[in-house]
Order: sequence, then C-alpha cells, then structure tokens
Amino acid sequence: MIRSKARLTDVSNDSSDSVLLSESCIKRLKKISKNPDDYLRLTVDGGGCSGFQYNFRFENQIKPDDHIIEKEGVKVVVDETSIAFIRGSTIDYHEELIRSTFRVVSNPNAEQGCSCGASFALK
Amino acid sequence: MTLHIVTRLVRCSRQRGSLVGAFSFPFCERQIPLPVTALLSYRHNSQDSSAQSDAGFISQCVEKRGLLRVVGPDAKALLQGLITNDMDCLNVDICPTINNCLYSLILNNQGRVLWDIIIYRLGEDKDKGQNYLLETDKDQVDDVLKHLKKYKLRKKADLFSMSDEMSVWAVASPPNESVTVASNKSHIFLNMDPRAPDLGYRLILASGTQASDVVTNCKVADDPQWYEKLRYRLGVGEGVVNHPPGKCFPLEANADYLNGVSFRKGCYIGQELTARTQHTGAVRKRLMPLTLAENLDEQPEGDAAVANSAGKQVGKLRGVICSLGLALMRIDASEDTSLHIKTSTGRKVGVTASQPSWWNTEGP
Repeated sequence: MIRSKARLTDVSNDSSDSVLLSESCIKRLKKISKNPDDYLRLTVDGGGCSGFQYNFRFENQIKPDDHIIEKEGVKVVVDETSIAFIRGSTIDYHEELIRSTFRVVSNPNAEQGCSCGASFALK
Repeated sequence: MTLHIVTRLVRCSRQRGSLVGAFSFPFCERQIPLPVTALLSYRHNSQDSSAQSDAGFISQCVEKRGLLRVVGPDAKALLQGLITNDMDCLNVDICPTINNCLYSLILNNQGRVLWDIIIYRLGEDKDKGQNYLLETDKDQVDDVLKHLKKYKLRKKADLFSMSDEMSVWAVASPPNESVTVASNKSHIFLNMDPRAPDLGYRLILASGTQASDVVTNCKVADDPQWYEKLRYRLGVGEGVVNHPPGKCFPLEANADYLNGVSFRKGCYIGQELTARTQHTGAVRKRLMPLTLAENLDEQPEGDAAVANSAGKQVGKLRGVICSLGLALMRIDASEDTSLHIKTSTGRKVGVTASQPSWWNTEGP
C-alpha cells in the first residue's frame, strides 16, 4: 500500500486562487498525461449525500473563464463557478486498497462531508 | 407560461366488496397492489358531523399549502439529489401508473427534516423539458426555492413560485364512489393522495376555482378545519407546524409508512443517517395521533411535553386542533393510559395516543 505524501506546492497563476497541488498529485499527473494539452479538470456540482460533490476528469479544452493551476508541466483547471468552493484547498492523489483517486483535502470552505469524501457541505 | 391540461378520470364499479381491478402505486420503489374499492374508501368518523357523506364528496382548499414549479432538462436530476424519495417513480417509462405524484421530504445535512413536499409530474414542456410542481407550506415556498437554487449550480432548471396562480385542495370520498372531474376545465390536476388512502385525493386548481365546481357531486366542507381534523385523526403530519425544521428524522415523521422514502436510490442530502437508521431498525419515536380529554383553543408552545403517569416526558406535542393532537412519542411509552399535557395555565389535560391503521408494522 503506497502512502502519498501531501507536500504542498502553491503554484497557481492567480495568487488569489491559492489552490494547492500536493506532490503526489503532480507526480501522478506527470505519469498519466500523454500529451501536453491534457489536463485535469476539477468541477464542483450539486449532488451527493452532503449537497455538493467534486468531479475529476481529463480534458483538453480550456474555456475563457477557467482558472489554470500549472506546475512542472502539469495543469489542473477549475471553472469560475467551482473555484469559489475550493479556494484554499489542496488537490491530492491518494492510493489505498479500496481505491486510488484524486481528491480534494483540507477545503477551508467545507464542513462535514460524506464518508467516501466525494461529497461535502458548505460552512 | 402555459401549463399542460391534465385530467384524470377514475372510475370503478359500484359493486361493494368486489375486487374490481388492482392498481399498483409505486409511490416509492415498492409496488403496492391495492383493490380499487380500498383505494377509494373513506373512513367515516361519526364524531365529526362535517364528515357526513350525504353530499358525496367533501373538499376543502388547503390554504396553508403553496406550490412552486421546477422545469428544465435537469429538473429531475436537481430534485433527485435533494429528496428522500425516488424521482424515477414519476417516470412513465419506468412506472406506468395513473398516479403522477410523489410524497417526499427534504432533509438537511444532519439528516433531519426541513420540509415535507408532494411532487406532481406535469406533462413534459416541449420547450423546457421535465416539468414538476412541488407542494409545500405556502410561507416556506421562498425558503424552499432558495434551498433548491443553492444546489442548482450548473443544472438547467427554472424555479419559481406558483402560489398565486394555483391552489391545493383535499377531496375525500365516501366508500365505493367514483370520482369524475369536468374535463373542459383548464388547470386541473387530480391524484390520489400519495400518503395514505384515507386522505382521498389531492386536487390542484387554478386559484379562485372551487373543487365543487369541478368535481361531480362534491361540496366544500362547512367546518373550516375539516381537512386539518381529518389529518390529525389519521395521524398524518404536514408542514412546519407538525415537523418543525431540523427537529425530527424522516422515519420519526413516518415517511416510510407514508411512502415518502426510497431506500434503494442513490445519494441525496441526509441519506447516510436515514439509511443507517433504517438498517439498524432503531426508530424509537414516531409522530402519533392523540385524543385529548377536552377541546383546547390554544396552540401549544413549541415541543410542549407529553408526560406519563410518573411525570416523565415521553413525547413532544407538535400540534393541537380542538380535541385532536399530534405528538412525537416514544413508541414504547405510547400505550400508557395516563398520559397528559399541561396547558399554559399549568392545568393537566389527559391524552391518549394511538397507532394509526396505515402504519405498516409488519415491515416491507
């Protein structure tokens, strides 16, 4: 079982965003991005057992209102609606027996969430 | 905005006691086959003179309840993540049924009831997509809209109040009567009340229309509290008076017996605690009907205590009308014959709690 180290690197373009990427997240993205236009998009949508849920997927289209977080060649993109929910959070990649997944940790805007970590409630 | 005109005619034979046809009502994921005569039966209570059935059907406008509309391609998805019941039960491809409404609750993150709602499926709006009406307390419509808008985010759904244009009516029928509705009237939506058969029908009309104009052989109840008394006698809680927001759990509000919860659908707000309570079987309190030893004029202050013979609190009063009440009672203490409440002057009034017939205590 590999334990990820959540060392924090603040690398956003816009200093007011302050969305952080952990070392394991960067490492994983470097490994799986097949071409330089690929990036990880994080969206917040309604749903899940606490009201809001995180959604990760790979894409290669950037929209005008997107915020881009780039470090060491890997890119994470968050749209305007979602950024408000995750300012100050850390995006991490976590591996354990039950699943290996990208996740949002230490979200200062979020209160309790569901036990699987995919859904959260706002403070 | 134009609403689709939807009318439903329910006919059954007048033969007593015969199983004329079996309808399945998937109010939640259970299919509940019921004989038609039982569906239309109305329990005549001889104590309440306003329930005399010589005029056929009795109706009353439920003034306390209002409506809001949710329409759009993502209307169903928006509601599905916020309610305890399964919107698929309103999907005609999955559940072809004559009933187009669903009882449900909206919970908060801690799994406690915020509002009880009835969702009506209107015909698809060809421009906008899925089309629903939500019934809730009239003075809560704005708060419910705010709640839905908070979680809407990117979903394509329009939300607005319909309380000025439409009103909610309750219609109760004598046994073995068929209900017919004038089909040339617009803005009529008639459904069996999805909660308990004895509640009869729920009718949505354009504001200003009377049910007696639209339903054959129907009169408006003389007693202004006729519907409330019917509900209290049956033990069906409704609105924030009986379910103060944040103060009870869905199973305590009898949502399972009233066909308001689905235990098979995916995540919604408050689901974890609801599912866990169901599976551990630990529902110790429920909303129960009370009979008081005398009429009370005053409404009790919030959560007034129901005490047993030893003076220990075993319940919380959640509404009183004349000599009827509703209280959140500890089930194991509810059979005590010396229960009482205290009025604002400190006087004791005896109460008796009873288990409604529609409680499905044998389990699913």
